[in-house]
Amino acid sequence: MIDDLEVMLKTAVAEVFRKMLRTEACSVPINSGAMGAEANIASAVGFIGDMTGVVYIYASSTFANKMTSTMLEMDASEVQGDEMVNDAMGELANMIVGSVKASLVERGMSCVLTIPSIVRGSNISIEAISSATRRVLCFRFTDNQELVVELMIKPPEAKE
Amino acid sequence: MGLKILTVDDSRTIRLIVNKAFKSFDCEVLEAQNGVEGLAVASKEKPDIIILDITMPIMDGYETLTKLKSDPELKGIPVIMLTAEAGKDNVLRIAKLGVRDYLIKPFKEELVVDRVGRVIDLKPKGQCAAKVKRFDDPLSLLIVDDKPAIVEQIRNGLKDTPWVITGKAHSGETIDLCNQSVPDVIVLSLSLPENAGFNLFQMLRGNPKTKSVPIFGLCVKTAAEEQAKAQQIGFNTIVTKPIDIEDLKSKVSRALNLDTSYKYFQQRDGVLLLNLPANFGPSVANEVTLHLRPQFADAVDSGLDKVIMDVSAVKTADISLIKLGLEVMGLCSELSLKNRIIGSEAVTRECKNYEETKDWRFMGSFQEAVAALN
Repeated sequence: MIDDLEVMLKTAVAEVFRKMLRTEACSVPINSGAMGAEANIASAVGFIGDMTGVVYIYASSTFANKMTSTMLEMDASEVQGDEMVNDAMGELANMIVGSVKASLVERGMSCVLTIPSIVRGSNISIEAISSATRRVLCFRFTDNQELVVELMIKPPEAKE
Repeated sequence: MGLKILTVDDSRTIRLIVNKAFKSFDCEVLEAQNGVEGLAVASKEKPDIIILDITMPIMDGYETLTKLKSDPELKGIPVIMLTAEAGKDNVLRIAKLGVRDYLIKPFKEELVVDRVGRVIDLKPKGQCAAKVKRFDDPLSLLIVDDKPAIVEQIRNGLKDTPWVITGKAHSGETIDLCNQSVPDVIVLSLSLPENAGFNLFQMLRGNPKTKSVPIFGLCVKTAAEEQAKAQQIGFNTIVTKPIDIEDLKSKVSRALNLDTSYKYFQQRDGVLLLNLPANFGPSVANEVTLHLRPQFADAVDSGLDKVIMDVSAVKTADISLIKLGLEVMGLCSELSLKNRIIGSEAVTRECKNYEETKDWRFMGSFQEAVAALN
């Protein structure tokens, strides 16, 4: 199932970036330098139902600012404060996971989304509990900017 | 008064995108962050449409919609749901609640405009002010023709105007251009391959941004079938090739209700002066006729009681000139205005030969006419 979710995520990221940011997301192998020392932003949306898990999207502050200004068709200098970037990153995660939810529901699975949450910091890393299944995907855009998408699911057999 | 669109979404990003999507339309976008705020704004402002998110804190979209539909004052407001959660069950649930339409995130701005435009009559900003546009304003004309020579001919013909002429050969690039910047008038070739002119017309009429833009069909004079079809499906008018530039100017003026009166009328030395140009013909006569009553009324209102019609640049006293002259004389008589005509010797002589015009009082110059009226 994790493989199916990975495909759904890749499709969702491509669609969201094409429609909201008018750019193509190119899936590339994850590399250790994808999340540099620069301050990063992680946005998370969880899903609960027949399958339970969480999706994080990470980007550097610079790239998150750029995505926000592109989405809102503003000049980068017009993006004021963290609040606007947080909101845009949250909305991007919401759209990506919402699209995955649609695919799950079409397969007859129940699914409810959580509201987005944002984490900011430098050198942040997300760690999963040992029973969780995890996939990390990386997407590259023009200017070599990268977006990391991390998927963690609770195994069905561990469901209460 | 402009239309009101209410966007209810906890995401500021989405509210900003909705705001931006409608900035080129004559409407006001109101915002609310959740259902409670949304209901309060709806009660106070009575928006023409609500774009409602589903997943929101405090009060979600389902509850908001249920409350809207149970309020006699608000239940008639059309609602478009906006949700990141696609899927059949969600869509069915939305549909049962009586929404007009729904949109799945991610969405393109154009799609929001398109869906809203199907429910309310969106008008591009500035269209209401079009009545006060003048002939010498920098109007934008989009010529859609796969023959560059036609575009060039129109551009050359109109170079005495400040109008900006843009040429496009294909439907796709026409749509792209119109989405970026809406032209004042579109002249669309009816002879594009594969019926593209007619198909493009339907697309432009279906797009809220261009649905009110005057569209002229362009074809050869003998293409009667194309002309009839164009008129039937709603082209504003037909421009035939070879193109009569004066006729095109006149059609643009009429379609945009341009103020061209300054070209012909002026108040000078206590007199209303009607000046007919050398290119006087049926098109100019129609244009002048449209302005006659308002201009005469304005002159009388300003305290003027004399009219001079200067036809000295006109070469011959044809039927258009005579009809216009009779109309001017009729109005002068109706409003008790004294009048004189300035005309060339040839026109004066011709007018003396007709029963209807033999009594017109011709003068040689403006000063002479003013002296006679005083």
